[in-house]
Amino acid sequence: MWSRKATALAGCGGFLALSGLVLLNYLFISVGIVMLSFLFLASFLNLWMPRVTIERTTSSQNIFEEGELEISFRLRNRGLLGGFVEIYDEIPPQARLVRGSNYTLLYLKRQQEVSFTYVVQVPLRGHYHIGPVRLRVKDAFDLFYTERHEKTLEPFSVFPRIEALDSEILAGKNPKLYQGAMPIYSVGEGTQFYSLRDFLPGDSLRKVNWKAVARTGELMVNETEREDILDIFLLLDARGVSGLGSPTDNPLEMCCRAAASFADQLLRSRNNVGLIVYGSRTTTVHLGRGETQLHRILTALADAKAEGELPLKLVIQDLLPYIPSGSPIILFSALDNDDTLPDAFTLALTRGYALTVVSPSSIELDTGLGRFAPRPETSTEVRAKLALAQKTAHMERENTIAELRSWGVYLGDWKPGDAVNLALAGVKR
Amino acid sequence: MNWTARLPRFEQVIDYRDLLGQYPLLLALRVLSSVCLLWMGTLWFEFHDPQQSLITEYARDYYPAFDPAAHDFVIGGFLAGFALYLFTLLLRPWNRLLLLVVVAGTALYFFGPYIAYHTEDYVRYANPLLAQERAGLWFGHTTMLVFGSSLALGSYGIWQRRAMPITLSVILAIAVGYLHTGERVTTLEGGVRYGIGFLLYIELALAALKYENYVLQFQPAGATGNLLSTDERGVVQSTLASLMGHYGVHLAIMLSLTALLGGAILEINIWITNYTTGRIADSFELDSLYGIVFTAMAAFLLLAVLRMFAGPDYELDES
Repeated sequence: MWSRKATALAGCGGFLALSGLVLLNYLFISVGIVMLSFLFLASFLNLWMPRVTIERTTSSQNIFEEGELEISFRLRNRGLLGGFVEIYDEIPPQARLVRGSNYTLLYLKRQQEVSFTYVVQVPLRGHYHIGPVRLRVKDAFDLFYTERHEKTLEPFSVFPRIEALDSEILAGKNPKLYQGAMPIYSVGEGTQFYSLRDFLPGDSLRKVNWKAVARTGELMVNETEREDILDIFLLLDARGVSGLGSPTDNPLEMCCRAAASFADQLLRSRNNVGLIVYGSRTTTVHLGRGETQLHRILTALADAKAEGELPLKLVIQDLLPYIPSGSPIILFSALDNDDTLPDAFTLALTRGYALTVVSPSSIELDTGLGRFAPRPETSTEVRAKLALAQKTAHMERENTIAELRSWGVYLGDWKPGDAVNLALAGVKR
Repeated sequence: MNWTARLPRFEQVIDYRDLLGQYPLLLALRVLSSVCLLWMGTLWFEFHDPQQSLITEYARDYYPAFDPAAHDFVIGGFLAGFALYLFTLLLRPWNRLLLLVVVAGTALYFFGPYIAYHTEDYVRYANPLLAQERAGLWFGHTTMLVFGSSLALGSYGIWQRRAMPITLSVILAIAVGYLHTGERVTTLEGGVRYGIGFLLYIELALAALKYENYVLQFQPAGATGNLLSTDERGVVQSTLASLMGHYGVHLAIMLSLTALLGGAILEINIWITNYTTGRIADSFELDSLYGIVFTAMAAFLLLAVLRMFAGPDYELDES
């Protein structure tokens, strides 16, 4: 293909040659003809352009917010001649380059293999992809080129940042005092030793206590103490209203970080943890344990988008029949614009569920973003109204929090900029 | 307190790092481009003698003593562009101070003689010719700017790393050529030399821009200093060396071939005249500039047809 420079050079050459004719200017003619000759010769340069193959790999398929993703390229020229190669790898607009570059220009000799890497940092959770790659093989003078779009995309997910929580999250009502696997003094599956018994057909050889066999001369197996697992549901408010604020600081982002930190802590304590994200619809991650479950939860959190206005009462109504009575439910919500909150909490509390709420303060977020700050040209009257609106909003939120706490809800009023641990301090109060 | 300590440091007055750049190779390329610009300017004004320009004719109506010399414009224009670039490197408040001095100085230089002509009566009465000349001097100085503008823009574009001034410098050079009234046919060697000089300037100036842009991507906008580690700088430096080395070889070979092909094409009309007889050999037009252009266009047409059959066609995305 012709580049803009080639087109300009051809136009300029032709114009000069013809102008020289009109003006009887030998200099114009000679410059024009030399330009056209140069262009003509350059058009032969890309007859034997290099044949370049590209291999791209990423350091991981999942990173956390502000985490770094390394992208490596390996290029190989399989052509007979060398040539100038330009590569541009598309990265998400949210990504920041922290090392190297997603654009490179190099000269590839025949059969030469070249590697290069660059590192990006993505500050926002979500699902992204790297690519496609645009490869341009061109002559030395940028006059003619061939372009290829490698459609290969490298998908990756950015999970919400997990903060280490320095204390136990829950003090549940029943059946246990502490979360996590608890021995309940009866024989069953577990890790704690309970007693010895004779070997029975069907017992696994892994359970055989070989020391006891040596001592008694009979096959003996270990019995373990059954452990109970707490079922905990995390509810994430992803309604449209939770996305108000800046892209990185809004109630939804704060809730996602808190939910990820809580899920990590609870799963480490060997609990069964499930997640429901509600907004325009509900997305459910069923109860489960272990690293795989954490991955499922983080993937669902990365996918959460602020949209819709599904009321909490509907979500609670759908959820309660499927979880054991007394199980803790942790809600992550700014508690904004939902008239069904009292009904939803009443429903859960009257059926014996332990409710915990982690609530980022959207009023504080708005204040931080200067939503209530008057402009210099604002009149005194409007300033007074703004101040009143801010005060009223604060009072409404304080009333809601006080009311819910009086019902026995563990509610953490979480200020923007505070660590998740401080939200937890509110919960334990 | 020691008064020297109160003097601003050099880096507080001028951003000299921009002038030197981070990579010596790029600085060398910019210097080389500047040399080519001066060469191109010299060739251009050597052919388009300012004495035979419509601009000069017009200027002499107001200022009969106007006597432009090609080398003055070339050197002066280049230095003016370079000075403009240096001015952009000056940091506040030094740039504003200098701007004030320059504006005042320029105004005095251009309009001082004109004002003196109107205010100093004794000059008018004692030496009317001198007075007339002084009154028109400002016009002569202004006219010089027109001739030197293409060089100034080219120089500014190379050092400020901007494509637009470089393009404008080419356009202005052509415009100055348009206003040339003299007729002059030079030798074949001269014609090819002009063409190669012009191409060399365009190619080197744009290559300097291209490689500067390649390096600039490693430095976020607005950042000063070097953000790359020594090892990373070494990698960029070696990539640059490889790119520029291969570019230089390609350029040398291509310009040599272009000189041969361009020279041959410019000579076709003479060969036709020599090796034919009758009406074609006797044709007056074939021996003139018309003949050169006509035979060149015919040659390009034939070469383009040949090119159609040489090698694979360009591949499109759709194919």
